[in-house]
Amino acid sequence: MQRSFLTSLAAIGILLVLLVVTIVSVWQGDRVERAQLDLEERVDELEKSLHSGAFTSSSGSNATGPTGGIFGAPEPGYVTNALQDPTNILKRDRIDWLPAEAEQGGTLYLHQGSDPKGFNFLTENSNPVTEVQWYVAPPLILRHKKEPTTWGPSVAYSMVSPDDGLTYTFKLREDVTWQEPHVDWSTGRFDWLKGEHKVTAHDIEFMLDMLMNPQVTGAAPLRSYFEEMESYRAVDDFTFEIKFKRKVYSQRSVALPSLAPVPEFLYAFDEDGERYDDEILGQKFQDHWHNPMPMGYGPYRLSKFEPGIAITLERNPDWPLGDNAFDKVVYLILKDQNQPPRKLRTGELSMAYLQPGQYRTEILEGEDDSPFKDGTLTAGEYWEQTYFYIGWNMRKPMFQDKKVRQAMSHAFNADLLLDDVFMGLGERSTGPMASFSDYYDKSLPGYTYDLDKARALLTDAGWADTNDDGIVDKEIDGQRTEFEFSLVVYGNSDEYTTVGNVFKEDLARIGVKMTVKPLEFSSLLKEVYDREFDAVTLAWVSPPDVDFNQIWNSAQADLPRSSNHVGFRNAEADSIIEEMNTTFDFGKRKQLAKRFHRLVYEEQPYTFFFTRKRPAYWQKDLGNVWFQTHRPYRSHWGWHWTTP
Amino acid sequence: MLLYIIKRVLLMIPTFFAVSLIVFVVLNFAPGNPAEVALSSGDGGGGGQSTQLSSQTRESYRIFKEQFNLDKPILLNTRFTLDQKRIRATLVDLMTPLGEIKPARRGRAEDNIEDWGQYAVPGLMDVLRNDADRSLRAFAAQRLAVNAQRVVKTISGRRLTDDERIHNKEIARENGRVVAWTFTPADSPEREGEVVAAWSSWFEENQDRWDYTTGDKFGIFFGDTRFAKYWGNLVRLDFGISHVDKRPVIPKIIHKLRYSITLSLSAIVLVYFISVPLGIWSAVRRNTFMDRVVTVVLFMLYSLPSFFVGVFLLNLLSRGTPFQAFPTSGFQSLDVSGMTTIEYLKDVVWHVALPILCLSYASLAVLSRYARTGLLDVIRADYIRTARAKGLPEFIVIVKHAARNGMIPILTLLATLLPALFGGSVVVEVVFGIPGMGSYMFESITLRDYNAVMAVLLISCALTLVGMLISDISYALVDPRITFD
Repeated sequence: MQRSFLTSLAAIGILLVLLVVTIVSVWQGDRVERAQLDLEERVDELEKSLHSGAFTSSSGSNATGPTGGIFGAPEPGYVTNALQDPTNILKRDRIDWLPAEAEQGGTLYLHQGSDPKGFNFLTENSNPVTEVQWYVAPPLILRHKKEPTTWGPSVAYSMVSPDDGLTYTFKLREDVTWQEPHVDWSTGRFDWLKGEHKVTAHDIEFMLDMLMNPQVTGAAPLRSYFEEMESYRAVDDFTFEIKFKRKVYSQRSVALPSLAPVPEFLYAFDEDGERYDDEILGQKFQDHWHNPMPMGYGPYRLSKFEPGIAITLERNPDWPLGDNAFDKVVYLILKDQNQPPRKLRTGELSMAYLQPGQYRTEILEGEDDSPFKDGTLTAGEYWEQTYFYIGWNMRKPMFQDKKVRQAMSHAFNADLLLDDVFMGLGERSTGPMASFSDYYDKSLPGYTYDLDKARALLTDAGWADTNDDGIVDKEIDGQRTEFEFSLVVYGNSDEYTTVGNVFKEDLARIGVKMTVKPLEFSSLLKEVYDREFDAVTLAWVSPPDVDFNQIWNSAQADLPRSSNHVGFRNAEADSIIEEMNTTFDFGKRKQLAKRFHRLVYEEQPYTFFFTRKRPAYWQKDLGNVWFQTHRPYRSHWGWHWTTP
Repeated sequence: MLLYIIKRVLLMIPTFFAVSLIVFVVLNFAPGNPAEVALSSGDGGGGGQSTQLSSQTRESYRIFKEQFNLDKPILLNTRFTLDQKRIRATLVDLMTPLGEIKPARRGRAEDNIEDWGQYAVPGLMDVLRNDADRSLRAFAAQRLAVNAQRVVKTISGRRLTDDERIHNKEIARENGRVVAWTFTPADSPEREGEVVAAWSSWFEENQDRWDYTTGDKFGIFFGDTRFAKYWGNLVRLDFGISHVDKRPVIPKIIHKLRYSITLSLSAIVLVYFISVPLGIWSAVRRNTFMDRVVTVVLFMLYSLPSFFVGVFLLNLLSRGTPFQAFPTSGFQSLDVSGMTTIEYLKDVVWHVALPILCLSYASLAVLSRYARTGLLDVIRADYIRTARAKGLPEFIVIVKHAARNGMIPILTLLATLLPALFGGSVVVEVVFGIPGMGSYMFESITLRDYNAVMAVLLISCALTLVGMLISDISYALVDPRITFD
């Protein structure tokens, strides 16, 4: 026994010695490895500079065409001419996106909250993917920087509509090429993909082929905007024509701007270069082997995607329109909301925004010597095209009377909640669009917090406490009904739950019993789709050129799953919607929208709450930071690093 | 012993099956399904656009459901009993003007008629040919034009054989034909006659598709369901593809395992290296002042939640004020391509130090208590007194005679840690930004990625079963007093 104990001790000793020997040998090898890696790195650099032609000319980027933006190629004459043509709907943006003194270089670090699910831009529309698409494969036309309802050129430099809104003809630039696909060239298996491919009108034709193919399930949300399409075709390599049966404004505001080339030479083929049969092309496109990586032509090329870690974009030197100042743009994938402020402090992020709770701890209550306050970070803000609201299910008897809904709005302490729960990061809104929108009627005051008025309105509507149980009641369909309901809130957010609880106490004071029902998002959607809810807190994202049809049209009120989940029906509203659908004149649209706003304000199908702003912070060396008023808000086209 | 092991292994099969059944049913009954998630605009957080299913969208939704078997019933399929009455009632629900029918009921009818697929064809034919209501007949023809279509076959990962391609072409040709056989109530009776004739001859021709024998019915009843299809793939060790990105689930899990195993394994080793000596030390000095201090400290640690400690450590040690000694997140630096092996190792250790600390501090209390009681159980035993009486030094008595026997429960605990190694930790991985199994599982649940969730849970389940077996066997191996014979 004694011996076996000793043997085990000896064995452990031998193992330890072996371990030490291994460590020493790895240590010895380290120096050799270092030298080898240094050598490899030098060779890589050499290869890269050879490839990008740094030896021949590094000054090609200094050509400043009228707008191709700086760092781009000189603008071809046909583009300049077309942009002077008055029939061209695309107008040159009066404001340069990137200032002339901008410097090229450096890496921009931004973040995303979740992993992209794949990079087929036609079938994926989650936030991280659309933001990457904006740089890798930008749409044919772009909204102007300051006037988001006018359109400027991108890949297309001309868009004309001879019959005013039924037929559109696009002209595409002839100097845009597809980036290299993400394949392993070394095996020779993908040699069929080699060679230069220009972006042409046929790529848009293929995009629409795929869009209209029901097998492409991911494209379904976008497809509904093309319902009125009659035909489309590539007239020649760089001219594309699309025809609609009927002229609807959303065609110009949603459908046409979402056109983007999709390369048939890649997506119609399997890995060995054999074309898919037509019967299965749609499904194969939806689940294409190249989908883990994107295929683009834009100012940046996605060079690396590591799930859960980062997405890396590198500048595409072949993009003729320029405006890409950074060598690299890295999106860190940060699933914990607490990470961005921390990484702003350490400099690992170039720009990020703060959540309401973080805004409180870092800014309102933070120390004065923190990077947020001592000048290390620059502060700014941007507004989102959203509005938060409480929706009243008008199918429920108690919410059918508009007086009741108005009473609810008077009992809702919006100002207090906005200031204390959302830290004042937003502005009260009174109608169905973002409060800063051109279509918004700014003359309407928010419903005041006034419990007496709310009580009076309830009494007016016939609600009174007849049985002295502290809750108002009313006879509905021969039955005495107590005013009791539940408010569905998004349970993963503390803010919504707090809003619910404060509202509940105010309602109790006017004799209404409300319970807060926090639900996870899928369960919440189910209640909303099935129309089972009484009231719900949600938010809508509205497009810059408002479209009330989806949410407010009576025709949608009874469709299962439609966005008119409160069941709003109003003949006047319907006629305004119908008129707006076919009105293209901005001034007239504004008037109609304001009329609509006043109508909804009176009816209060929602208790409108607020439009959110994001407090943004960025490193002080980051120049020309500006934000769009539509997605992606933090478009960094036009940002650049400055040397201190 | 061998017999015992065989018995246990055989018992594992029904246990595993039962677990998979329960998990599958719970998962499938949870509100929300992958098709809805895939077709909503993907903007989960508190807002976003909801899906409005127009006719084209509806078609995509149907195809998506078909592709992932989501159109099938979950456990048992009785659709071969669908008769004309049931179909007619559903058609009536679909034709009732909006507003006169509850939206939930309407939605259910839409889903039903879609999900029934081919099973609804005989009933629809019956309505088309015999019903008195003309508008209902027209509607039945429109539904037939959808329900009679068959799915083309695609297989991810390999090219179709020529036979399959020819078969696909046939299906596509037939689908293209039947889609046109519809009429509206406004059409002439002749048109209706043509359509009905076309359908009738088509139906006669393919009659055998709907003539179910008892054997067919049995097969459909158990076999044409989500659960059966899932198990059909599972026995071939095919865990399916993710609903979210359409890539196979297993390679993704293997990739993520690398992070989780590094973390959990290091944490387990660390915990054992600290808590076993600590437990022995406490047992030797039981009920002294120091023992109590250690106990109190350990239990305080035990009661600290790891999300709190993680955030606290990060704010204290990583963000620059006051210290910037550790990285703010990640498993390794963003760019590790220029690093030698040692530099890389240092980089990883530097990154995972805090997460490992977070994973291990709470288990210290548990394990050291086990070690302490384990030792206390044996320290009063006769053979310890004998060892002391022999005149052995106290150190040898404790380490050699007492500890080896007292640590048996601790050793066997190791085996039950197997699933923990695999599963990772949601909280620590999210807080420290490490893309491991824990956060993968969590995301898959929120996205209703059934295949991913099932794969992770089933592998965990299998590991738990194996772990329990190993732990039972190791009892017998280490302690000769325990036997299974």
